[in-house]
Amino acid sequence: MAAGGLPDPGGGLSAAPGPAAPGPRRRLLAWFTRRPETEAWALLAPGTVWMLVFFAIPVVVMCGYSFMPRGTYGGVDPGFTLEAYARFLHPVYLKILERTFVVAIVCTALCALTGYPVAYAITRSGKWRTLLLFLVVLPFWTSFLVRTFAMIFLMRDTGLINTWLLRLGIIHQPLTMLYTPFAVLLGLVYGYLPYMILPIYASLEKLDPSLLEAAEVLGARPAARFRRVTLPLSAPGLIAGSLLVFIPALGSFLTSDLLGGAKGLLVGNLVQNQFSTARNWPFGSAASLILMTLVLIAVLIYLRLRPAGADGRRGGVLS
Amino acid sequence: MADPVVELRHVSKSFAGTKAVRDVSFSIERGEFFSMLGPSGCGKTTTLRLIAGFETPDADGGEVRLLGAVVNDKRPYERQIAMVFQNYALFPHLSVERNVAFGLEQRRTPKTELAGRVQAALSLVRLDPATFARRLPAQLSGGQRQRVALARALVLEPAILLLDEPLGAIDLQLRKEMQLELKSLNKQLGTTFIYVTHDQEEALTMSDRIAVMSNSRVAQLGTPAEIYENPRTAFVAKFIGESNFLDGTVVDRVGAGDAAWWSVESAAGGRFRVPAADPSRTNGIAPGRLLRIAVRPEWLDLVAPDAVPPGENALRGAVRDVIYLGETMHVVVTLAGGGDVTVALRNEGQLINPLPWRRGDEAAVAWRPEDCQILEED
Repeated sequence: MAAGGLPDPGGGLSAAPGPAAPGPRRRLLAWFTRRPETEAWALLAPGTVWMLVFFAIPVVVMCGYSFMPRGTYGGVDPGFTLEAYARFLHPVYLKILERTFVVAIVCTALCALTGYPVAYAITRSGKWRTLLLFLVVLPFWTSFLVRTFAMIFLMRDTGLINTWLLRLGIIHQPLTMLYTPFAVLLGLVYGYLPYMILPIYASLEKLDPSLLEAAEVLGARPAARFRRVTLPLSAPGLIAGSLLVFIPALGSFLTSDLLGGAKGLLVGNLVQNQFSTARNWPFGSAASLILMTLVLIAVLIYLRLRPAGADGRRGGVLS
Repeated sequence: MADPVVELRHVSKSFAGTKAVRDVSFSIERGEFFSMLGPSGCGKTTTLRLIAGFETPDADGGEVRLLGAVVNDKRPYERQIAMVFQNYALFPHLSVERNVAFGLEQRRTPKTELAGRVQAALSLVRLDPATFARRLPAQLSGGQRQRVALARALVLEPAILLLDEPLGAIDLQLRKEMQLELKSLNKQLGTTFIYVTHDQEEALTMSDRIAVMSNSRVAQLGTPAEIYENPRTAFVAKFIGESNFLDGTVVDRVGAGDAAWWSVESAAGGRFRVPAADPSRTNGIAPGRLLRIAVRPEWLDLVAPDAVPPGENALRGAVRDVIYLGETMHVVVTLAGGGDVTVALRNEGQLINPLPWRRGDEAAVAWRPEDCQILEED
């Protein structure tokens, strides 16, 4: 075991003998208690190993692939080329990239606009709170794939929605919903809404009601109380929720694949295609990395945008 | 006399069928320091919230009047009040100056006036604006937060300031200091202070008048001295200071005029007399009635059984415990007929050496007949 390095908790613990021979075990415990930070390292180790093997190494491999020539039957050939990146600059792909960002941003905004009132209502729902929270997470009981297929059955021309609208005489021609950007957004918002509701709920729930009473005595009417107290104090939840929706929405491919038309292709679909049917691994890798980099930049900008005077009023009162 | 600033007329409030406030009536004069004192759940906070406007009285639950007008259905921001909350309720995302400016901004105070008033309010509560204006509440000590909360309320120059146990969370030393400061702010500004507390010493220190609350009602209303000297019920006598309670049966009336007494057969053995001169305090007393009196420990004296001063009541007993408290010494005496009383002896310099009383000593507990309070039923 190298000094300063990670201990090997698995090996170390299994090597520790039973109560019959307390010596080594006591020595191990002593080693743990002597350096408290080793305990922290031991707790971090399983997760770290997991992320190293299944995230960090694949990203490095992908990064390498993106600079190599494509193999004829998939995979890569040895060599170095910037071909994959150059290809991405083609207007067709830039258009896909743009569409992906627009979809993710609109999806995040819709989730925030619909999720905030829901979270707010749940915090004020008294004895119904537990049930409502349960209902929010209920969709997770079914796989996302199955739920997306279910939306096809709802939205297609002969689907439930059109059938009922026709039967009620509200429309006379089936509405074209499936394979439109609308369907993709609907599917994404449906899929990611709980990730918006839960963090907002968590931050609203912590809000001390006496702060609102204080604001009320100080002259704030309901709208002002929301704007100057509730909203700024739930901003952390809103920010967390937005990130939890925006990032996966940006990389999503299943929803647009099933609900969107050919013109609804997102970067996620592009990457998937390159690794499967198109067999262009370097290009798929490059597209992935470009998206990852842009997400990182977008998130950093977003976090920077948080206003310092969190209730929207900047600067001091005195001087 | 001018209209009272605050007036409650037969105010009642229930929550889900439980009465939290029952037929409470009182009026508060301009500039008064008025305390509502009682144990938790006695209705004092609900009463304060009724005055603040967070709660409205029941449909048939009387009237809350502020500055002469019925305000039952007015929202808090429509009343000329400010409030200091139990946990201060400072906005954690706003700096000290923004917290203090909040109310002024909501009332559309001109920008030119804003800075001056915030500065003045901070100075009033003795917080240096240069040091504290830009800090966030999290960067302040409990006492400093307390002052910011006070500044935030006072900056609005309210007619009435409501304070809901504002000193509960700060340590004793600072609390004593803040008590005196609040009292002097009240006199300096002429603002009416309505103060809720469960700390009797705090209420006695600061208040012009105290409403002692129990079981959703006002048990007694009066100046600190009135309440301490003449507690009307056993609850009040116990809650404000310490008291000894003696039960007995009225035997007969002796004397006449100012020197009229009721003679009472004590349940603890022996007889004592209670004054009969003031009819308002002895209503309904007649021979054969059961009676309970309260006597403060410091009104009692401890003497040798054969040295009872003439004219004083005396009950015999044995010393059970001697508790030295510095300023005073408490001697617990078990009376001959059962039951303990506590006698507080002042430390006048000769007390300690030698201790005048020891456990097991035979003694008589003596008091002047007028130094007692005949209690009503709770």
